[in-house]
Amino acid sequence: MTDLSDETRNLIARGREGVPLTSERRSAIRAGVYAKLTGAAVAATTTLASTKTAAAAGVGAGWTTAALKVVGVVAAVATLGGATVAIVTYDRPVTEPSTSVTAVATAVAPSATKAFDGGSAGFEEHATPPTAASVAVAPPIHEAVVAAKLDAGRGTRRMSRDGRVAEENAVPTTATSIGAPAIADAQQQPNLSEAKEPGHSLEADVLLLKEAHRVLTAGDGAQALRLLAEHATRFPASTLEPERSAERVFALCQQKQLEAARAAADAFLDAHPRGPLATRVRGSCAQPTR
Amino acid sequence: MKAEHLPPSFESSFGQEAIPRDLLTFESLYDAQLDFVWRSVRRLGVDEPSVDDVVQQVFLVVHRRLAEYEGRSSIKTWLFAILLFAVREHRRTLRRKSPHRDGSATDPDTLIDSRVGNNPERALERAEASRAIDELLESLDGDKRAVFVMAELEGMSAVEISEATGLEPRAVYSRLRAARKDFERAASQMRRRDAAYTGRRT
Repeated sequence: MTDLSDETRNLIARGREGVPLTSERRSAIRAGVYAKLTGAAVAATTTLASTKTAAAAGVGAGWTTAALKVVGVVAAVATLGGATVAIVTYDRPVTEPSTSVTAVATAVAPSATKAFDGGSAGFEEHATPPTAASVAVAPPIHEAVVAAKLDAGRGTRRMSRDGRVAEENAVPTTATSIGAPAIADAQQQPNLSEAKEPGHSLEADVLLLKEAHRVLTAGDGAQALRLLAEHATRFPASTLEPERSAERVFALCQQKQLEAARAAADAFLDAHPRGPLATRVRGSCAQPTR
Repeated sequence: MKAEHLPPSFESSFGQEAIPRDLLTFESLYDAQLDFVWRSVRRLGVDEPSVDDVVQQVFLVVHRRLAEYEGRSSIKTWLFAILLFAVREHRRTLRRKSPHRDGSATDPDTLIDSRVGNNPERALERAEASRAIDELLESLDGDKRAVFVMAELEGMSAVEISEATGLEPRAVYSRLRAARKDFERAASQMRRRDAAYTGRRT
């Protein structure tokens, strides 16, 4: 097989990772994803009129004030595909089932997840996620994310555009154990096997790591190391463990702790020998022996 | 004549690691994989103004099909398959809407992260190299381009590429061979052009 010249290989080595996106761009794209997901659900919320749930004044998506009181202060509500995601803060366990939450989610489920159709149809409506300004409960002690992701047509066999028939099964959810009882009594049982312990937020994991990166970039390696240690304690099984470990190498470099950096880099490369992170670790001050 | 050289991960069964499914959440996947998805969509030839939109479509599908990801293949394989599908769909939509639409150049200044940190020369070098690669990729089409991106730029193995594209491994090898030829030819041309422009040999 013909090979590429050294110059070309060099060019590839220099440019293969591409240019990182600005955080603004990342947020904008993410907002676009959620807007499209929410937009898909807007079409389905019109079916809520037929459910037992009455739309609360000032709050969209059919949440009743009763339901909201049950789960606490809803900081933000968005509908994602076949699910209702509520960012709630509350200070007491939910004791009563919230059928209205179920009703919302159930009603949203059927038509919300549309097959990928090339991008235009079905995603044009842009819904502003309703805010729960009208509901207030006691001040929160901890934050939690309640994500009830229900079956979108359990057992429905849907032919997706690439020709494969996909069974729409129960999708994994993350839910706090406090919010879970309310949702678990739903008629359509969501899969709560991914329920996390109270106080664990979907976002906290990522945000903490981002904060560590931010302070490191700003030059504060010591604080970065503290935050990374905290991340390791709070989220030992985080999907972003490689990112955390790599960031620790860079923070140790920033702190001029070369011995520790090398040890960390070696350990990292033992576990993750390939990929762009490995490339960066190898190129760091640590000069790993791997 | 140069000895056969393949990227180190090409021959292995899995060039990348699979993420245990129960640890995977959409949010963490988005954050961890956005850069990879974005640059790959761009490199597959989607015009600059449309990249964000196509990337969003990719993550919509990711969100919907996350339950199906069993961790048998690497996350890159799984994502790239969705990516290829999204890009194909985008091209079809383009042809329907505006058959004469063409791509526009990337403006790297809008992309360069403020976290250039204390090595701006390195960041600039990376941006320039990335842009050069984008230009050279224009000389590859279809399967050749996709295979080249996956093998040479993303370090994916032949098995992974085969899974993501549906091509037989033999076809993957032959596409890569052809792609390398085309890419190298374009790269030489670019170097000659740059040397002529700057008046010195590189």
